[in-house]
Amino acid sequence: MSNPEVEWLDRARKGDEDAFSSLVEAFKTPVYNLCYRMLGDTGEAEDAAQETFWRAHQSLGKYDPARPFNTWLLSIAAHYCIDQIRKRHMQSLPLDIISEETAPDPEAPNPEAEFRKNEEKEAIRKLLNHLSPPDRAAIVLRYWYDLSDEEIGKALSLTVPAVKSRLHRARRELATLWLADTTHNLAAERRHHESPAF
Amino acid sequence: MNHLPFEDWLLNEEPLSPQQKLELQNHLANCTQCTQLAQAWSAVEDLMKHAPAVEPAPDFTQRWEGFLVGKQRKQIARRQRWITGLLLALTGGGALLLFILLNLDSLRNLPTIGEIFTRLLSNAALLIATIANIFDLAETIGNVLPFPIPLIVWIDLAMSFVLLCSAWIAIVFRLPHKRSINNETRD
Repeated sequence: MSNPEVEWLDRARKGDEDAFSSLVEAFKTPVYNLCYRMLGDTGEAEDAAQETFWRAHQSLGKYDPARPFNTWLLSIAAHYCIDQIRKRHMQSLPLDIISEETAPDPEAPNPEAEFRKNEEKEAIRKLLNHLSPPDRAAIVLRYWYDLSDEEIGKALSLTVPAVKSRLHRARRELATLWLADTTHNLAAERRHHESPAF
Repeated sequence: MNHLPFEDWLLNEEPLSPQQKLELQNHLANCTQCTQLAQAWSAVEDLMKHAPAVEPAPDFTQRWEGFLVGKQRKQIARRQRWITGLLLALTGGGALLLFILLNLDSLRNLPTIGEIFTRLLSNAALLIATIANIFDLAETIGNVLPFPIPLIVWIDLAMSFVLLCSAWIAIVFRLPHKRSINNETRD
C-alpha cells in the first residue's frame, strides 16, 4: 500500500469518515471488479461493492495491519458475493440484460472495438457463471489480482490444498465449457452457410 | 489412453521438469483430447489475463457516502427499537412483579371468586394506567433532551426504576403485615 493509503487507513481507524472515503476512492475498482466478476451484473456489483465497504467500515477495528488492506477488502467482497449467489441461486441472467451489455454503444469513439470488448466481457461472464461460487472466487482472485494460493486460502478461509484443488477443477470446467461453446458455434456457422434443402 | 498425469500437468501451474515437458509433448502429438483441452484452456487463460478490471459508474464514492448515511440511520433506528424493547421487557417484568405482590395479600383475605376477580381487574387497570403514564413521561423527557442518551444509561435507569419499585412494594407489603402482627400480640 502507498503512503497516503496507510495514512488514510490510520485516520479511518480513528473514526475519520473523510479518510475512509479516500480509501473507498482508492479501492473502488478492485472491489467493484471482483463483485462484477462474481455476480455478473452491474447493478448487483454496485450494491455488493457498497455493502463490502460498509462491512469494512464496521469491522475496521478488527483489521490486522499486518495483512494487506487490499486482500482484506477482497476477502470481505468475495465472502459477501458467495453468500449472495447462494441466496439468490443466481445461475444465469435474463436475456434482456445480456443483449443490453453486448450491444455496441453508438456514441463510443470506436464502436467495433467496444463491441468486441463487450463480447469478451460477456464470454467471461458466461464462463464464470458456470462455476460454483467458491471456485469462481478462487479463479477471479488468481487471474485478476494475481493472489498466491496462500493468499486465496486466507481470503476464502480455505486450506492451500483446497485452493489448488478448486483451481484445478475450475480450470478443467472452464476449458471444457470453452471447447463445447466453440464446437457449438462452429456447427451453427456451418449450418448457416449450408444451402437450404428443397 | 491414460490422460491423467498429462491433464494435471496442463491444468496445474506447477513448473514441469524437462523430462515431464518432453513426455507431455509426445503425448499431445498423439492425443486429440488432451490437445483440445490444452488449446481450450490456453484460450480461456488468455481471455482472463487480458480482460481489464471493470470500473464502477462515475461518482461511486459520492454514492458510497450516501449509502453510509442511510446505513448509519438504520443502525440508530435499530438500536432505538432494541432499547425500547428492553425497556418494555423490564417495565413489563417489574409491573408483573408489582401486580403479584400487590394482590398476594388481598387474594388471601378475599372470600369469594367474584371479589378476587373484581380486585384483580381494578389492580390491572391501575397498573396499565401507571405504565402508560410512565411511558408518556419517558417520551416527554426523551423529546426534551437535546442529546441522545447512551444505551448503558437507559439500562441503568430502567434497572433503578425496577429496583425502586420492588423496594417500595416490599415496604408497602411489609408494613400492614407488621401492624397486624403487633395488633395480634396486643390483643
